[in-house]
Amino acid sequence: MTLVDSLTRRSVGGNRESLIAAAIFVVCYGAVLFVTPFERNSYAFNNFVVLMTPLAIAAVGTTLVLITGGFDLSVAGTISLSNVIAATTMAEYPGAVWLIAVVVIAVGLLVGLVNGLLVVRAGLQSLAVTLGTFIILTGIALIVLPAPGGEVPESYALALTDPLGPVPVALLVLLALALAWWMFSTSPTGVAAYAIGADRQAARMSGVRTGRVEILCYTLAGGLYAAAGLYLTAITASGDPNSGRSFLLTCFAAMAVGLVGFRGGSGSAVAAMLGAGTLIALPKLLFAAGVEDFWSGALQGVVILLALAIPFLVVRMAQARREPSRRRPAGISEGRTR
Amino acid sequence: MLDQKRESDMAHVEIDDISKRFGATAALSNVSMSVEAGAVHGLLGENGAGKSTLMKVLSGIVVPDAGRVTVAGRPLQLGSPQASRDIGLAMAYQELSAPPNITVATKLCLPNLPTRFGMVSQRELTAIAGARLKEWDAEHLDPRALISDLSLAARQEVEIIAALSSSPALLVLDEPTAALPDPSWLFRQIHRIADTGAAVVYISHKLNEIKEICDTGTVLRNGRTVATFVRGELSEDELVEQMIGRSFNHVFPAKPEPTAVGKVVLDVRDLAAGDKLDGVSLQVRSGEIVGVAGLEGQGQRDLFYALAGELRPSAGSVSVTGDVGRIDFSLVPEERKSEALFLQMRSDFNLTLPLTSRFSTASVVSRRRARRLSEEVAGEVNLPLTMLSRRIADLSGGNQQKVVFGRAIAQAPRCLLLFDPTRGVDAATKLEIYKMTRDFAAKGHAVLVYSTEIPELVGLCDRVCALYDGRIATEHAADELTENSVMRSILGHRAEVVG
Repeated sequence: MTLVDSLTRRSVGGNRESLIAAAIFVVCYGAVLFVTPFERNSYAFNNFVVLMTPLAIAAVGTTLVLITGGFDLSVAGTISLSNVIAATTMAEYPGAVWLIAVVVIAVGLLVGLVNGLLVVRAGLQSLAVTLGTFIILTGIALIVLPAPGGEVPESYALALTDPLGPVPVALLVLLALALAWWMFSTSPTGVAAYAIGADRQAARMSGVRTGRVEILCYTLAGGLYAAAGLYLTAITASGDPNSGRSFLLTCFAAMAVGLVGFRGGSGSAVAAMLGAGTLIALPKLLFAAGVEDFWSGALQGVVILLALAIPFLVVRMAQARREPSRRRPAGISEGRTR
Repeated sequence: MLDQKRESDMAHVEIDDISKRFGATAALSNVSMSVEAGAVHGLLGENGAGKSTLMKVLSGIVVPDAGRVTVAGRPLQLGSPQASRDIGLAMAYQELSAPPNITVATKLCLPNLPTRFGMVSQRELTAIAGARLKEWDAEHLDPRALISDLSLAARQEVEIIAALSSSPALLVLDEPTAALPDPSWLFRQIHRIADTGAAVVYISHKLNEIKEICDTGTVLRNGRTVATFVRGELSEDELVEQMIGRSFNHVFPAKPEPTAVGKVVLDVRDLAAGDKLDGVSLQVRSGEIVGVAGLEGQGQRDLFYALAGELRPSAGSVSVTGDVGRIDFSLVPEERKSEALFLQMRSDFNLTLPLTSRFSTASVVSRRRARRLSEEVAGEVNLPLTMLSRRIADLSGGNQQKVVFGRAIAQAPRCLLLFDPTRGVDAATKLEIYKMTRDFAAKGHAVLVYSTEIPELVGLCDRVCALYDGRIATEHAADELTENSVMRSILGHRAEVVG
């Protein structure tokens, strides 16, 4: 198998997406290091990884759902809720900080389970269901903490954000997550998730218990959003009922830069994590390049489009060599979304 | 005593009085069928006769209103795919059930993938799949290949092998040769699995296959059992009569005299496109139906899709001249569901989508005129008007194909391209499509048709070009057009070798 082949094939695991996303990230972060000398030290590196971690964790969750062909907007609401719960309770019960963290993750899992049940068992559209839970959760977050405030014990914040010796804890978190993703994506359940995203009916006819797998993906995703919220709380050391809102778009942007297929059935959460890193590096790069703040949003959009163009160009290059009869005519949807 | 009974009932499948209504329509009314262990049982019927519903009942997707099924003496819990699987039912689906992004090996092992420490063991997966491919004489398939990279025929083989290798007590094959150029491989495997004591249900529209492989058979019509037969009891004509409920005299419409065809409409010179098509020249005259024959992957798809504008030719020229018609080409494509239809939309939408300019004024669509036009086109292709307001996914395969065909001819192409137009279509609709094709040609249009079925090409076409390795190997004019001669040329025999 040539490199071009491996870059153009759309298959379980998403190795090609990870490769491309890694290349984009290395270029962007490399450019940051190149133009800004004060980023070239372990302190700045730690800060960078810490900053990208909540988005990376959340993007793994949305990827999990997207691979099965579903859209999960509840990410924003779950992060807000998890953030305000942590910020209002942890300072009050400093001895039970980690117990609270476990409870918060359980709440996230529960939210995901409800999403999954509504989508799979009730047959509702994922976009509608998760939009609903997003709004509900934001509402609950406002009840828990009506205005920004709250706090967390310093020990909690430092445990998650300070480096452990020379290695940032955040990096360990991300590596553990990447390992977990690799294990998931190569497990029978992971293979089934990809198959479901590509063709749910075919997967069902092949004997895959599609409902179970999908519900599991939504549930795990909910837990990941809660974890992202907990990590965000460690960074901000306070609560904000709207803290999750910005994650809605950035998660999907991270998946776009990570080349996760929006039709389902392809992509990799590792690539989405790298996409999250790219999204954090970009503003730094644009700032260093002296681009005015109000231009940087537009330029980030351009970078997303460029990232999306890369596999397209690679495919175009390879198409000249490949047997055309294997190719489906353009415009035919390769998968379905709910 | 009890043990003895069980012994004699091994893999004996009994289907009793199954009934199922969908709203006002009775899809199945008291259908019964029994298949002996080790026997191959043919299931015939037009699309819409209830075959698919019956199969969905067996596989647990549809819950019947009444009836029972026993497999090897054990009652099957109806309405549970898991129970059907557990009792030993394996099915090769006509629509092929392999997700495109998994490998052949994964498909062959689903849903029980071998794992090591909770992760799928690729090595073991490939080994198991390789053994299964070897066991069923399909070593030419690469277990590591992606499903989406396979030809339709190879995907069909994978589908069949997946069903065969689950050691089924009841194996159901739904139109298994729809995409297989040569059924002899399949027939060998069917005999082997039947020898293990499995009961096999073989669903097909191809009567010659039913005659060859099936020991017994059942004919369904309008959701009822209208005939059961043992091998050799009914002739092909009698079977078709049972299926469509009336007799017919001629399968293919009469061909015009060669002098009746007009001037050249389609002139293709040295056309090369894609990877396979390598310099094809052919002409189709006004009023003429020209067939293209070929084994899988000889460039036929490249030819049709290049003419239709879906594929950029790398060399050669194409010219179309004609007095009748509004556009040069319209294509009835290979895969109805993925290439031709908007499955979620209504039939009338599917029928009239390219014709919006004819029922709109200043870019405003007139629903009344759209309705009239869709009724007009539906009338032309004998599509019941009640189908127009239904979702096209709910129509039978035959009616879906009428919509695709009707849309193609309604655009009034100078040259009509038909790529396997009767695939997965019931016998009655096939006859209608032959007649409509001939009528369309008689109006002065040119028709180019590819089919996997040689008898169809020989019966329908005025001339047949045999494609071999991207070129036209032989052209068979009307006077030398026989199934035998065409079959020889698509296998690559030169005319002189045939002698």
